[in-house]
Amino acid sequence: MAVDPEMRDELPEKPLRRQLAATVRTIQWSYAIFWSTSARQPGVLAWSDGYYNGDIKTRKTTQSVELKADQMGLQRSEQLRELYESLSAGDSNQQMRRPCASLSPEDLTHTEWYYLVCMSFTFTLGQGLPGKAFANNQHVWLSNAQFADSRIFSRSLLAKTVACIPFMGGVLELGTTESILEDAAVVTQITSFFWELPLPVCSEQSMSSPQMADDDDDDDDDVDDVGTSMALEDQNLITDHPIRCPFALHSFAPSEQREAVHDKAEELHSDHRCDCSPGDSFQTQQLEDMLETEGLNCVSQTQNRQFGDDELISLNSNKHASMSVIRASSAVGERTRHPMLDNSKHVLLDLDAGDSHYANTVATILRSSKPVRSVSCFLKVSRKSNFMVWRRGMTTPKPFTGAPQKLLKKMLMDGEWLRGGHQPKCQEGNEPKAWRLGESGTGHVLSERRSREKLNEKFLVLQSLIPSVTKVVDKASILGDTIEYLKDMERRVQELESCRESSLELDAKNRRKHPDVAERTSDNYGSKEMMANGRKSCSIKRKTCDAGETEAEHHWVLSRDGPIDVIVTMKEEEVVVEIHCPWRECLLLEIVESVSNFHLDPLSVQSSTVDGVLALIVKSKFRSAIVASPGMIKRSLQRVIGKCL
Amino acid sequence: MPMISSNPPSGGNKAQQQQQQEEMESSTQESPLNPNAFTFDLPHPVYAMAFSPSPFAVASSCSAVAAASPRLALGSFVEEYGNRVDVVAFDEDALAFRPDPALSFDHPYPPTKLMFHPSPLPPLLASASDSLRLWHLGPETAELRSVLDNSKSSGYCAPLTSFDWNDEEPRRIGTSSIDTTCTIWDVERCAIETQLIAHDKEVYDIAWGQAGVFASVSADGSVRIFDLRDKEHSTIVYESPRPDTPLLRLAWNKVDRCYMATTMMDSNRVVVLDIRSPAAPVAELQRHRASVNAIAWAPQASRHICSAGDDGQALIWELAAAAAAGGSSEAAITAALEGIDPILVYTAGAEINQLQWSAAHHDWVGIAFSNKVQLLRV
Repeated sequence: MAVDPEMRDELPEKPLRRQLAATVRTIQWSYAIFWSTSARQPGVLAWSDGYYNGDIKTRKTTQSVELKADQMGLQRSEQLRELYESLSAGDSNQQMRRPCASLSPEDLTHTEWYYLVCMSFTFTLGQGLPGKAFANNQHVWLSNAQFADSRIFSRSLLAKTVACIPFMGGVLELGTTESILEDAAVVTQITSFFWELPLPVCSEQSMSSPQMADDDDDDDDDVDDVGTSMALEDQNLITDHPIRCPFALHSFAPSEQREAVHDKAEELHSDHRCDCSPGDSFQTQQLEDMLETEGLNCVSQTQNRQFGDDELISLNSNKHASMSVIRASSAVGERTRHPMLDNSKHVLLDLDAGDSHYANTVATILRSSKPVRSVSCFLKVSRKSNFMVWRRGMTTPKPFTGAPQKLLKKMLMDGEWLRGGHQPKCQEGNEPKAWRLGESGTGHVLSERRSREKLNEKFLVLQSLIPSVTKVVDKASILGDTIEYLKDMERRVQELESCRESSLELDAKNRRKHPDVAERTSDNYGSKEMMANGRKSCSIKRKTCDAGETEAEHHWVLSRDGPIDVIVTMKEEEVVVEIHCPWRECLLLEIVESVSNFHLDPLSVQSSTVDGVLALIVKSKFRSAIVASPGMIKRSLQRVIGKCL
Repeated sequence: MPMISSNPPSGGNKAQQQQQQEEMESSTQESPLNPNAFTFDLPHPVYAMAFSPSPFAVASSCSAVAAASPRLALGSFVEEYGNRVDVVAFDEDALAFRPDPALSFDHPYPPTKLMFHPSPLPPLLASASDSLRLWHLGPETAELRSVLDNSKSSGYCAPLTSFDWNDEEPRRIGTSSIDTTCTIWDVERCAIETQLIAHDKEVYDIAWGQAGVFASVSADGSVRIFDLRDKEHSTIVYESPRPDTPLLRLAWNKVDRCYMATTMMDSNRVVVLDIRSPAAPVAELQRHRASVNAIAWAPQASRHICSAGDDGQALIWELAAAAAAGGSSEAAITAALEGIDPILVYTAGAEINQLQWSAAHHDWVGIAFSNKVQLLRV
């Protein structure tokens, strides 16, 4: 009865699914999957069909009539399959094209999701539980699957207990969200169940209902024990013990879900009664045939009982459903606390390291559905803020005493680290002035930098004033040029002054020559390029001035009453002062006074007054070592003379 | 203080109790045990920090969780050539940081700034130190994609103090340098788009306002706005009151482009400016007890700004709309006289050197102090 997975939509598939349904429902596990060798990929086990018996979040049915439990279950599995296919097709318009009664992602519980994702799995020979079971042709039971290594079983979030049974050219996998110890009997049960024909959960309650009803009433605390102890007993014992429910039944506080399911279960229950009879005998016959071949003589009894259990099961399915809900939520919720479907399809999964396939599938599925919003990422974390409300009177934290903005300044300004060992491409000479090795105390650096900059500015100004011969613009040469220039200027000033004084007699000539001289002077001062020549010519002039006194500079100082002429000549220690100025009272006295201020001893004085003009010649000698320059003497004399007028 | 790398959140009650306790004592001791602060320790101090823009597409082979959660790029500060940039993801399941060693890379010189490409794809990270570098954070490894070098023929490279990636025109990155220039790069062509001499002295920070408008602050104490359409002229929006007090940091409000904020050297003030009324600041936020190191506007709200400084405090301020008007309301007068008070405060244990407000997750703020990085929830 190996089913071709390609023909999954055809009728022959249905019996398989029904069989899966029957199997899983009878043992009350959460799901059953049949993996068969894929036609597309030889040697690989792929999803063939499955039945989901776990808890369901939202039911969507088109019919108004309530279906039987098995039919509902089948429909649910079908819907899940459709959902998977539509999601994996990845069409963004899926939402539009899916019929409204079909499921959408938010309608599923956790376990349904995982079940859905299982549809994408494939196993090669020996890979995973199904692969191993297939390879060894032996059933594999994994309890406490959530602790299993992901290499063994990677879908541990779906089920805590998984049994894989090689069967009919494929692997039958059943899982439940509870932890169940390995039980060979259950395995046999499963395989035996699988031979059931289409109408699965028909109960022969007439046979055993009273008994079952009684048993059902027990709210057993020790059912657990019975259940586990059952696992240890061998098969025969199972037949002896009435099978109430092999798994623990706890009484739970009524919940909505449970009640809803309960109602449905009751309806189904009533449906059950009227069903099944036609196929019953057939079933029994078949089973008996099968069981005979297996040599389990007493199984028929078991079967009968277990058929009775179906009723029990359906009655108890409400409890089981609620139990599985709670179990599922507790099992699964530890890992994904928030309903992952509540917020924009963002799956918060705590995935094992090797769970990439799972993750990818989920991711693919979710990606094809609504887009992921970013904000949901942090919804998990408590909404408590780290910040406190600010108050005025808050006491200060320990006051900060270090260098302010230390790191920031280091980042922006110092650049020490840049210079520190490695200097990639920077030239040495062209370092900008502001970018130098600083101390670690950045305040100093800054004031240093400021003063440096001021200095540099002033150097620039100086450079512009000083005519420098060479092109070198470093500070040392600027200063050197300045010194030279200053000296030069001083000299020239002296010479010019003395030249002027000595040429007092040559008025006319000098006056004529003035413009030339002036021109030459201005020439010299004016253009820097000619400076070299200018200087030389100037010095030549000076020399001639000194020597010949033929072309002298004249310094005409005009006063109100007439020209004042002061000539001071210095020959070694003797100073000759010639003065021509308008006469006034006490002038002579003042002149002599000022001359003596210069520590000069007058040796002889010649004076005459002609037409109100005083002509005075004073010859004097320096009294002490203090020597005044002729210019100074002249200027002071001029002042004296000029002031009284 | 114990160095914990992940603080699982306890129930809300505990945090609340602790907060109440703290409030009652009205002291601001450091809150390292705050259950909602997530701390990441590094072996070296961190300066540059960047948040990734938004969750990356679930395309990589690594688990869906890591790809969807935000990533932080952290640049080290070691005063030598060899530095590192670490890429760290925040795992909201384990509620811890998860460094991604495959994506961490060596970096020459401490990066003065790190920034992700404004859109999640391509996953590019830019860093600036001696030049601008673009790194591609692939699924497996990070690789250097390009080096945008400012050197001209002389081969001289002036260190970059900061840069900003233009949100509206992601081809543009503007860099600021100590050679007084700002350079606008076209990162797709890896070429200079334009270069301006922005200031008289070193430029310390730059921020984009619109696609063609940026502002910069400098050691000459001025905030200038430049428009790329008119490169000859710039507008001085503010000058520091004491002349030549360098302005160190600049942040332009991305929501309301009229406002920008700047900090001065050795100053505990954050100056908030309205570019429509230059030279008169809207507000001067003066509640820090030491100099301010970093500022960040809230990415979604137009009136909130966060600042952090050497006093170890991160303060969140709310600028009232009437602050600019300066009307006769009492609040305005009080504000004018005494300055605006912040609304929220967080106290870290040491000087906070860096502050970034995540643009993708609006209620998360990252701070860096000493060797730690903390994610704080607002």
